[in-house]
Amino acid sequence: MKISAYNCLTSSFVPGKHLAFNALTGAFLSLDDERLDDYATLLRSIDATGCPPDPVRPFQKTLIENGFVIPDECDEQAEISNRYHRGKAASRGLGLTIAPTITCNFGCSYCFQSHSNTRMDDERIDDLLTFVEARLEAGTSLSVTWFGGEPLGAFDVIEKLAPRLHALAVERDCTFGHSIITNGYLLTEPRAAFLASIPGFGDAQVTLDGARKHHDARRPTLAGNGTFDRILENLVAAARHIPILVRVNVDPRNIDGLEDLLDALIERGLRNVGVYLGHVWRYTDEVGATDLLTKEEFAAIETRFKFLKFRKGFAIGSSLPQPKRGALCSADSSNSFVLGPGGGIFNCWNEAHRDVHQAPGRYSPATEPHPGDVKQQWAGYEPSAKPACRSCHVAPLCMTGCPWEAAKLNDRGDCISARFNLADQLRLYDLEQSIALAEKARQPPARRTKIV
Amino acid sequence: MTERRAGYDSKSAIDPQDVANMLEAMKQIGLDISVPAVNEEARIGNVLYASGGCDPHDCSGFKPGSCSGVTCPTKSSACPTESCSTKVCANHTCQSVSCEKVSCNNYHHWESRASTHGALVEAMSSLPDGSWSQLSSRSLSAPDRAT
Repeated sequence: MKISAYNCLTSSFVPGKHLAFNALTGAFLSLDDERLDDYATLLRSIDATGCPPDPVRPFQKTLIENGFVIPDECDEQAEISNRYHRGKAASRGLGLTIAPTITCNFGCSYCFQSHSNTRMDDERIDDLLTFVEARLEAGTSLSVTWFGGEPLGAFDVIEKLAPRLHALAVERDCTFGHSIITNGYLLTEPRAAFLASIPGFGDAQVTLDGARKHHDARRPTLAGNGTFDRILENLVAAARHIPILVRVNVDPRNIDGLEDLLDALIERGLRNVGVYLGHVWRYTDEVGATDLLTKEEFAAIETRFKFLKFRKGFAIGSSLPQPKRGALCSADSSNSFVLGPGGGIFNCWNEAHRDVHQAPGRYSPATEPHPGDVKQQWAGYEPSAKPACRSCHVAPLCMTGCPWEAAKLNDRGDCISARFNLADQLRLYDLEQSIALAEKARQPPARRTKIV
Repeated sequence: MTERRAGYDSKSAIDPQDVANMLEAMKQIGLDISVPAVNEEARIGNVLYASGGCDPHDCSGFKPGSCSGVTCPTKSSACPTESCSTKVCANHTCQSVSCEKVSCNNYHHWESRASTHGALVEAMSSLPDGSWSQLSSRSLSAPDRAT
């Protein structure tokens, strides 16, 4: 036998309690000191003799069953590649990122798009529906992300498309889900109510880059006016109808405003919204920001921010890192498409703002479709071909990360935070889970229930 | 010694004093999270093998072979008074279903933990000003420390 390349053994926040995770199987175990000895003894024995100790203790058997120690014939690298290709081949649901417009009412300092006035007209709406009708396989799923530009700048397009896409999904016996990424400035209560009225709405992701001072300096209107107060008002009203997810795009210039933002959300009764950090990065040449956090710095800030959220009474939102399978994103997926307002099909969100003539494919028959070419760019993507990732302890979690970034020659941003903060992610997950379970244990016996 | 031998990672970006403050606050409200408690042995599987499928995973609650629309149960006996958040694990193939035992702890809203967390937040906020580290651009230069 041999030791898996993807083990992580770490302390928890509590003395005497330890955490073991395997990134390939996703196994997560908590250990007391005795089990830690079992862990160390097993690995030492495998390392020295290739065999487990005799007799194998029960916890050591658990470690073997969960892939911390594996048979010699297991090829973990090949398994990662197999997961990618098998998952891609098995995926049947249709994923659409729809940009009703590329126009935006904001002038953010670090935006990765250039904005034209292109917006989807009725003819393109019909073309888009024809495109979906041709590709949505019965009994699968249709997942839509409203994107832009600022999608609410063309809300009438969403009003026309959303019910028809939902109806088409129902007609084909498909599940339907949709969500929106918006700057929040136009997210009025009636609009939130409309989104909630179309079944399958997930959440509205709205960006706030700190409290008023930091946010307004980074995300003003095109006319240069502040936007924080109006967005916050909108969120309070919208949260009555739809789940809200606040994204905070972070670089060295707004770290100081993160705590103030949480306080502002608490003050407005928004402690129950999800809040997470996005990394301002040079995704495209359009990004103007020059002062960026490195991936490692971002991972550290992300960890500290999660702990701050916990201290302030927000959910940490720490999920257990999951081994990845199948396509990495819309770019390398054979059935995910980014649909621009002018009839262009793109593969990556970073391309949505491009002109239809730069698109690798068209969903509009009027603009000479050549859909066979759309997925050519990423069809041959092979995650295991990146040598730098072969020795990375989190490779099964990201499968080498963002293909767009991986294609760059310099300043690549394809690594995920877990490469640098996996141990902290596990600690925070354990903390949140342990509190939930401790609360359950404190309930009177009559209220205690068995986990199904 | 055991820790060092086993490739133990004790480095953290979180200030150890903050962790100590949190543990002290837990003590104040009688909250003990020291017992190993997280879904142990819940992901046993044979996923290392090309022919692996869901077996012998414990996919209770899931239907191996038809996992394209796995949905978190809207109610779980783990939290009978509360609906789980709608979480459709879309686009999963059978192999990609996380075969954890279905536990609402992985899905449910934060509100179910609110009373304990709320009491803890109150205890933590009662510490004197300056007890907690500040999240600031200056902290970028702070090295990771052992927990």
